[in-house]
Amino acid sequence: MPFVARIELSDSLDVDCLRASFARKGRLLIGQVLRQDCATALREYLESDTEWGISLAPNARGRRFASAVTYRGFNRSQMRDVFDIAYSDGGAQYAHLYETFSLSNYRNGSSRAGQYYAQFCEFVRSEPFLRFVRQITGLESVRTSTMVACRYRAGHFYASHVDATGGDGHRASYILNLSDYWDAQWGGLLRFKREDGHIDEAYLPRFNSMSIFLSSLEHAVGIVAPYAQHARYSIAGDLLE
Amino acid sequence: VRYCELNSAVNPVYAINDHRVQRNFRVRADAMARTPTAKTEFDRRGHSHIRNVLNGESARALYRWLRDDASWGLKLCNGERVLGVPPSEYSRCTSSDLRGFADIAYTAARLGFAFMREEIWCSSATMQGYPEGGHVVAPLLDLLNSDELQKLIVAVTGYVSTRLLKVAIERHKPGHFCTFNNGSSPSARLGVRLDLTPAWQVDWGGLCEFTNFFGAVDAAYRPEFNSLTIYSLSRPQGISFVAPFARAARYTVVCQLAASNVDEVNSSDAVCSSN
Repeated sequence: MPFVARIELSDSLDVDCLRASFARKGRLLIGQVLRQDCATALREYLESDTEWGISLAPNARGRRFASAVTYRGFNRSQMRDVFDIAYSDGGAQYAHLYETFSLSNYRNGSSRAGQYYAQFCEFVRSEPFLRFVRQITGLESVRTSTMVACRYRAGHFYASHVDATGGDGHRASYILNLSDYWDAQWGGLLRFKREDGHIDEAYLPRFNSMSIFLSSLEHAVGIVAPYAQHARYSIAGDLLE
Repeated sequence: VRYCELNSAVNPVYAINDHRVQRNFRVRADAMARTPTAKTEFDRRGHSHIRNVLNGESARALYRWLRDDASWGLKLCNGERVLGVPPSEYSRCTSSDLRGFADIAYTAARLGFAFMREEIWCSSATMQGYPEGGHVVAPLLDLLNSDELQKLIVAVTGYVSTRLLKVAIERHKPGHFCTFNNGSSPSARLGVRLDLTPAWQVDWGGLCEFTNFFGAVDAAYRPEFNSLTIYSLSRPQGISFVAPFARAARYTVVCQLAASNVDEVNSSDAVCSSN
């Protein structure tokens, strides 16, 4: 596993252009957001040195979580239960099913992966990244952020929801996409609705792209089809006051 | 379960002949007035969506027939071949059979073009066996061939002439899908989807998705009762995977049309007159 230099934004980002794009719809997808070697290292660590737990909910209530240790021990019957529970309310708002991993609580923090995850946590809370976010969103009050790794595999999804729960200082969200390749017909796209209920745009989770959107925007991750050839890796977080 | 490789003789996609039995289904009187907005969208994005396109009773009658009386078979594409399971066999399929068919389609989807869905299994020959006017397909074809619908398509797309080439009546249920494609008829330029799904949640999938130059989805229409989606076949489109938790089926009449612009019609006229 390569040990690479500091995590930094790509030096080819056109902030003025990104700001104009964000201003139009309160969201945007930025290509090649990190230095390529940083993104590659993050992807390789996520693929090989990560302890995935699982998060699921049939609706806005009843969110459940199984830690990596518990999840690893699930038998086939328990795995079927996971899907049955997540699907039981017909994909109601806030229903979801995906694998998750807390970067900041990685238990083997002394490993190379642990050190790199710690560096990423530091990066998304650093002034250069937060300044970049403020510049393109105009959200001057953003002061810190959170981060969690996500893996969507066949049958995983996150139904329509908004991230802001009110009064929690949540201003925007980001998703750093780290799958090496993704085909739009595999599902797993980040969808934004129009007022008439159709889809205005669906972001393809291209490697090393980052979507940033206002936390008041309703969005969803479409279900990943059984014929998807890879897992969809990302690191997502809240941009907070 | 017996399934067969489909060819033109038994393909449930209809060859469009002149099945004029009776005219039951009508376009809404005010639909034409809404075409300027739809044309703007079509010109800008290569696809457009019109709500409330048929009169209410026509749409409800079509839906009732699709829901209650139609005979559905299974159709899937495993890349190179289209396979069909006729209704008589399909109704006897076990869950193990269906898993087997899904495996075929999903394996194919990893390699290239593939789909799996239900279709109304009916050839021109079997249509003749129905009492005159007793079968819905004939008046449906009449509607699709009607001047009022063709005029509406012309008004939205800017082509001066269109001609129906193929029609399929489709039902997508959980696990069904169609990967991106440009239509199966080489001479087809336009696709038209008449949606007859009464209620649908966008999170169930089954969206009619359009890709842009970069392979991303730049727009998707959810199934919407009595709506018409008109699109250029020059850009790939597909139906996204229907989630296992979808609580309804997606009913659509899908057409492919040939279309000519002014220059082509003029040059065709010139050829005719010189002959």
